[in-house]
Amino acid sequence: MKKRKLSALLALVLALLLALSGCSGGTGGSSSASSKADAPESSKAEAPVSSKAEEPASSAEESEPEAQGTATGGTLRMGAYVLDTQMSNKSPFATSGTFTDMLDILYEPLFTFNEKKGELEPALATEYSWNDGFTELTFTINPDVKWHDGTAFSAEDVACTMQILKDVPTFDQYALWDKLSDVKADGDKVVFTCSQPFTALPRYLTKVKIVPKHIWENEDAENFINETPVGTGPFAWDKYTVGTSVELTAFKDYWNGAPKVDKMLIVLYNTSPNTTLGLLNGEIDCTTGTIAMSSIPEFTSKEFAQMDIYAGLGNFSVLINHENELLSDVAVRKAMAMAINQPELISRGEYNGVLPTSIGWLPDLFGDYVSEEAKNSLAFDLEAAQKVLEDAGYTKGDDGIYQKDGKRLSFTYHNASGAPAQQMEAGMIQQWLLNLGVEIIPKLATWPELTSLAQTGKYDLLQMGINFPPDPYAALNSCFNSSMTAPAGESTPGLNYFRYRSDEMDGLLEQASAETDEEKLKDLYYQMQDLLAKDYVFLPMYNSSGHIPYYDGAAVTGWTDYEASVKSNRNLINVRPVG
Amino acid sequence: MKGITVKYVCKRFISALFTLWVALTFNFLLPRMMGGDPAEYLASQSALGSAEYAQQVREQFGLDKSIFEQYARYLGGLFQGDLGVSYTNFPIPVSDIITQAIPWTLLVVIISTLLSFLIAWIIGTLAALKKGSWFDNLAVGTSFYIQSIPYFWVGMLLVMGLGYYLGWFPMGHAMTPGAELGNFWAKAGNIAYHACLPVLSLVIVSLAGRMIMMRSNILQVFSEDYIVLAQAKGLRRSKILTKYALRNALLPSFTGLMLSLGQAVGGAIATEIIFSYPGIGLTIMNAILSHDYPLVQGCFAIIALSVVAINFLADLIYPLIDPRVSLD
Repeated sequence: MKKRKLSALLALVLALLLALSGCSGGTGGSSSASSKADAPESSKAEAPVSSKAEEPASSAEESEPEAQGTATGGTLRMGAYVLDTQMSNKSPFATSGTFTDMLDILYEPLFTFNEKKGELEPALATEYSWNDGFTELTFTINPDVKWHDGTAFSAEDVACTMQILKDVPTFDQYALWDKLSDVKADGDKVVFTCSQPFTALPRYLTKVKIVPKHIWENEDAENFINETPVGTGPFAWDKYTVGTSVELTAFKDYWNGAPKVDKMLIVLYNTSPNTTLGLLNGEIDCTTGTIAMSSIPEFTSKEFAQMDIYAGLGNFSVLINHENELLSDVAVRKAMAMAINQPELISRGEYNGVLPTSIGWLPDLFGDYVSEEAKNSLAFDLEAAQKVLEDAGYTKGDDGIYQKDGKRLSFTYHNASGAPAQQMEAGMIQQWLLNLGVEIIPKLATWPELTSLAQTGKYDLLQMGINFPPDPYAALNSCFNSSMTAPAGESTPGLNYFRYRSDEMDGLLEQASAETDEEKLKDLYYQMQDLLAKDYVFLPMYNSSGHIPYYDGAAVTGWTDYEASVKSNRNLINVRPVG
Repeated sequence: MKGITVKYVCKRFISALFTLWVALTFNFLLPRMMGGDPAEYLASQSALGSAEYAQQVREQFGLDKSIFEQYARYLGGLFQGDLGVSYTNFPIPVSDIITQAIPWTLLVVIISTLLSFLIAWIIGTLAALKKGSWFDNLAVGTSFYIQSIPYFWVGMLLVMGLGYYLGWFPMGHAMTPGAELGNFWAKAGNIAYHACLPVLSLVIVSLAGRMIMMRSNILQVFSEDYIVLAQAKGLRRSKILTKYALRNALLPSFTGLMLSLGQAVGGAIATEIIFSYPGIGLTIMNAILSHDYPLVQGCFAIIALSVVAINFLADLIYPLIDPRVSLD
């Protein structure tokens, strides 16, 4: 009798807690993907008219390189290191606190940026063209595109999206409206009018996901959390199960061809090791790029395992504060850069899952804009590094630390707390600097504190990552233009945390900002990178590279390596079940 | 036994309110003392470190107001039950984030706390009754061993052993990802199955201390004169235990239980990390790391409130179960 009472009580408690937990399932319903359609024709992309524009991928060969497979159906299981809090807001405009990899599948820009090739590729627009003065950019809308609810996509949607960016300045993260004066829909065209030549606009627009006017025009965009997203991507929103998974269904009317799997299950994990364990255990077919770096050797030893490694839009480096008297000496910076064994850092710290940061700053994804000379100008050589210091008049003291005029080469070194890999790598770099004869005083701070220290110049050396948009000019201008820095104690207006001031660099950047000739622009970028390499502005570590683990041939196959394996919608539509 | 007076309740209530105010004020001050500006951090992450963008974000968050105005808004909001809006998850209200996460935390933490106390009381009592026996030696020896093991290691052993290698239990999550669970009981069963390892890990690590405490309490009570008298009177051992010994021996454990329940909403960060389990612990940790002031304040306000409320409740219950406690 007592036993029965106890179990009844326990059942009641459990039921109460379950009810509180909201275990009734997802927060959203299924989107109504429209009826079955024939596989659309290949993208109707044409080469843009502009001489500056990149060649878009246009052939069916590239969009369906694995067309020999016939199996369809099944589920693609993707793991993601995403917290429940990131699932509350599904607005594609939010700049933080969202699950961006999922939003990139649901929503698309006019053109996408291929991070492996550094090229723009058509998506919601088929082509674009500039006027002669590079102040008017016209996109032609892709007529095959439909929204997940069946409504036809139009140029009005693009104009509405840009209007939202104008109305809510915090959504316009790259301040595009500072240079734009108008965006107008005109039939199947959408015309962007700029107040000054803005050749990088198409690249910036790859970061702007287009939303449906018929839904967003009725909402207060700033506070709209978009419970049931309606986009144009290859998979449509189905449901979210709290803290567990997101389910997406294949969008049969997708403009570039219906996905070959029926469903996509995104399994959410709280940490990187958990995601990795799920991958090693075969619970998932791929991740959105998360893998515990130390598990790379174990993962790659498994049958069917593949790692897709490519450059990303960001660099990890050790920032040097050029306002520090000793660090303002290029010989000191050069010696430190030469004393760091970058290949070993990448192999021991990141298990070769990333690519090196170039001393010329621009990563490989900028293709022809990258100066090979600058990139290859730095090599690890401890003896030569010590000679650089000695030639510059530094002498080694009894304590093994170089000094000049009674001033020892002793610097504070800030890096992130709560980030074990960062701390281990900081330890390696600090040891190499000590081997050189430079004393390091290690200090820890949270990421926001590091940012604050970098912005206000209250550091000597500081290890962190810096991200930039897919535009080489922005990557260089925001980090190295003297107008993007400030005296120590004041916050920088941009990312020039180095407090690097060079008239030569400022001049080159000014020329580049007005240059529309492709060859001349390329030459200017080379000169800038060579200048950075000569000035040893920072200590290069590694690029914030994509490193995507996936199985090809276990449960699903059909991945291509033309674009990032998991992060490209062109790739996702080709994935199909094995057999 | 004296009844609870209105004066006693009022005194305890005012004391609880004061404690809560102090805790809430610290909640406001501590995140702001960490250094670093959340607006500048967001700008550096997504907007090329633009100063204009940081200023727009600052205005959106109300960080451009004076610290006193922010404090007044914070307390005013709390009185109206408004915990503010998360910075990193803007425009999601903090209360939404907390209500989404906290039931999962309560599910595993409360069940494991109750189970742990229940098992600890049983084993502790049996060990005390059979002091010096093989059972007592085994229980005490094992307890000392378990108590010296860090929690994360126990959790990882369970995940790797019972989850990864043997596959008896899921390695994580609160439910099977993507499973179609038809009715309520199927869902309840699935959730209970997924909660097994997190609950087991929490029970294992918290059991030892509580068991040792219970054993000591029983042994101490058994040495009291009134127990000797009861034995001299020839009362049955079971009667002595249930009527006299247990009631007194459980008192210190009751305090421990109430404190544990009060702290339950603080979550179990390590459990959530190891078992990929949803909950408030990881939310708090990430809010601290990203300087999400309203979320940090909201979470700690809820923790402070629950600790204060449970302590207040314990203050009210204690005089009822222990007549020696003064009501003045």
